[in-house]
Amino acid sequence: MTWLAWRQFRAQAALAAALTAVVAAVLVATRHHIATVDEEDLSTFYKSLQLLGTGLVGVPAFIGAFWGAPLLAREIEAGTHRLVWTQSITRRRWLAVKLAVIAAVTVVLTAAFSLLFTWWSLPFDETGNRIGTANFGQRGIAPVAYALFALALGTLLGAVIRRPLPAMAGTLAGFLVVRFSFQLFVRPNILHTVTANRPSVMFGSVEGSASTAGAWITSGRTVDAAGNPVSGGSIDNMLAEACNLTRDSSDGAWDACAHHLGIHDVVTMHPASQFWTLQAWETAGFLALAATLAAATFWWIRHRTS
Amino acid sequence: MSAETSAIEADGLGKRYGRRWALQGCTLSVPAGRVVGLVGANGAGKSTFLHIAVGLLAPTEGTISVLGERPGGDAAQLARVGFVAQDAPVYPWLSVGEHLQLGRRLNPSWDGELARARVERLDLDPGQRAGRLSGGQRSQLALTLAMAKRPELLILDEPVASLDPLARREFLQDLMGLAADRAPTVVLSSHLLSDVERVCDHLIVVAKGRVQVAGDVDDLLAGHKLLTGPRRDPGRMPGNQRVVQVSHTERQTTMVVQTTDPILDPRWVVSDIGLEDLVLAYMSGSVDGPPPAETPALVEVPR
Repeated sequence: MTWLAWRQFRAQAALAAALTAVVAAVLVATRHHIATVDEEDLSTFYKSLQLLGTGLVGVPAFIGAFWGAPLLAREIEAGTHRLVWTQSITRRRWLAVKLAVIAAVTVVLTAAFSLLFTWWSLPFDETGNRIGTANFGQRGIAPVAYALFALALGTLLGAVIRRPLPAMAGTLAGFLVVRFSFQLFVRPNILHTVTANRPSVMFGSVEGSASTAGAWITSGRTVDAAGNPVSGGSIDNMLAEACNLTRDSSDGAWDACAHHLGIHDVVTMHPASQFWTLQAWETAGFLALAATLAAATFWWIRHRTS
Repeated sequence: MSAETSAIEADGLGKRYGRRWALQGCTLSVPAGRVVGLVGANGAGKSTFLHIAVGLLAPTEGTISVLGERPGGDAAQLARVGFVAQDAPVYPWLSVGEHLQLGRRLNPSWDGELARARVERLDLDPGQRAGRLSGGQRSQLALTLAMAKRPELLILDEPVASLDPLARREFLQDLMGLAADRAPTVVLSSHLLSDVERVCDHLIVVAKGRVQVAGDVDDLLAGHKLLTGPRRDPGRMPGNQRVVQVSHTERQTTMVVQTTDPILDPRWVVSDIGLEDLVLAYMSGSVDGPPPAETPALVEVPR
């Protein structure tokens, strides 16, 4: 059965491997340059290479749509499931082998892509932020789990919808909805946030502090020395009065005055140090979803498909 | 008919899709070692029944036993049954040779010699992609796959429906050779009697999702008579004569009657019936009613 599964899949696997190799070559060839040149001095070309990271959103979606959805839908549409399921092999074993072969290629290629890109991005991430928002899903091991989830989702939708094109569309939509719902509603609540004080950044001359560098800040407010929140309008009057500042005073003077009065920011955040823990949880979450969908597919083809 | 001599035993088998019954109250027995024709109009439930028999579909109600086991239950049971689905699906991007390799790898009882010899005799190029085969060649390839796994029961769903008359004849001749050679039980379905009457020695006629009549061809022919006489009401027939079909002209009544006893009423002109007329009578099913008590158990009992 492995022979048939590989025979059916090898052309797609070869194409995907070739594309991965191209991306890998670009990343390896450009890494030295971006690691040695200051970010401000990089040309647009090198900066735009960061967009390759969106591939780590797109690749899982395409794997789901082009590898997952047709797996059963194309067989059912062409009627070939009636050929292969009446050989001396149970359809459960048939599906297990097919999924195993495709999942293995999926893991190898997405892991290679994602880990290479994680390494490539380190120079940007030192000054930037990789735990928050979009970057998080374009780094580390989570993209592997996204891809397996998309594969399982596509396979199930293909079995249920029974026609490749609608199944592919459904997989694309379903994957993106789940992927970004997870990012918006689940990921912020997985780990406890940390609350920290830092000098107020209201006036522009202070760029955060070591404790909040690279952190995913989920909320922040400015308070006075007693811990009472202060708002933008009242704070200006307060500072101007206390330190005799005018509109022409420098940003530095405003900041110094704020510091003098004990005005600071209280932020709630996921510090950069939580990155790999959060990656592990996100990965586990999507692997659990993938396993559930795969189990549902096995149930479905046993009971519902002809 | 006992279980030992039956290849398929179905009891009250039914399959429902949503609110529509594709097959209902199907009770039948397929005798082992025979070539059995399953005849019925399109949509009569033939494919549904065959798909249940090979384990592709699970019945909504009733029970079925194929070679004494639940169909498609495990790999060993799957190995005992060969199946060619309607339109003979094959993988268009696999070559003929690769299909044989598929058969060899997925079937422990694979007879590579038989497969090779057949492909050679049929003049199929092993390097040819299956997608470029003609309909007849594709059917032959699918049949080769099903035969070379050496099944005890070979099930063919509308094997000749998509073939031209010449390919049809060749396919059926080939099938007869197989049946004589290896003597597995063969079940083939068709919506046309003419497709199967030359190869089958046992017939099952289905209509409206139910089995209308079943039996050996000789018994069926001996057990039915064509009655022609002056116009009269078919309701007044002796109890041992079951009216299958009635048609009237202004002065004449023609009936197909199931009976094994002589027709005593002198007003009827009694003649033998051809298989075609017999099957058509059942397929059109103009008379619905329970069969007489002495009917063989092969005939469906409406629930």
